[in-house]
Amino acid sequence: MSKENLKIYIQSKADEEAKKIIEEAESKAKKIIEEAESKAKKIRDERLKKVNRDMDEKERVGISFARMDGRKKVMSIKEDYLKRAFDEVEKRLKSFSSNKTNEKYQEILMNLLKEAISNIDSKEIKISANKGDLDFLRKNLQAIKNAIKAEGREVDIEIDNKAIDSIGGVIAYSKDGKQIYNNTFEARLNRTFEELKGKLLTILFEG
Amino acid sequence: MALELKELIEEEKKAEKALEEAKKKADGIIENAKKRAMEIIEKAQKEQFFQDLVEKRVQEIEEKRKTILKQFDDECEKLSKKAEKNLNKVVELALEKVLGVRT
Repeated sequence: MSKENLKIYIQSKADEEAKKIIEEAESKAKKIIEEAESKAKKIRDERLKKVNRDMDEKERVGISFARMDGRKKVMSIKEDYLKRAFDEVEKRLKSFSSNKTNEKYQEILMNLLKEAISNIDSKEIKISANKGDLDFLRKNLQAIKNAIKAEGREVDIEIDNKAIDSIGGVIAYSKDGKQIYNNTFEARLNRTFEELKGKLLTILFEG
Repeated sequence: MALELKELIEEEKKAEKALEEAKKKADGIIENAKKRAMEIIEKAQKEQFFQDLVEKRVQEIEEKRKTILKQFDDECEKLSKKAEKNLNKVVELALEKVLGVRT
């Protein structure tokens, strides 16, 4: 090989080697970028999935709490009106029972007394009531006994000396204290609202 | 002969230098690729898109929440109107039940 040819050979060999080095580097660089893009895509996909999952949960909780708050408001409205009805009935009962000479009131008191006695299975019954009602019952004790007798029961009725704090009505006890029937307005009012709550609510919010 | 050998050695040195430069260039190419790769990943991690998405979803949830509460408020208003109208009916019924007679 001539000197010139040898020089050309050395140059071309070096050029070829240099080209190969650059090509390999470019190929490696391309691979690095591709891997980074793939990793970035994975990061984005996972993050998107997480964000959506977190937001879905936040939405579920937020809506659930909103519904719960809303239902509480509705329940509160219903309870408020039921309480207003209760208070109004109590107010009217107080007004009604304030006039002890009212014949209607006396008739009702007698009915409450009879009902209370009929719920006590004893021949000796003690009756408690507020002061005004006790006075009326004492005055009419014989008439009460007759009325009970007319219904086929003979009972010994004792009117309590001690008045109770009540709007009106009576409490009947068996003498031995084992049976008790509370037929005061307060007790009847509470029973009415407990037993008829559903019906009262339906009527309140119908129409 | 000695001159020719010297020329060839010179040529070999040039070739070595060219290879060194190529290697340096190759290192630069890979270094740049690594930097770019880091940027790509950092961008994916920081992306504003997710912040915007979160804000958008939070806003949507708040709207839905307000709509639901408004529906319940409307229902409460309707219930109040009905109750105002029917309150006396309920009082009369309860009173009748408590007294055991019609008042």
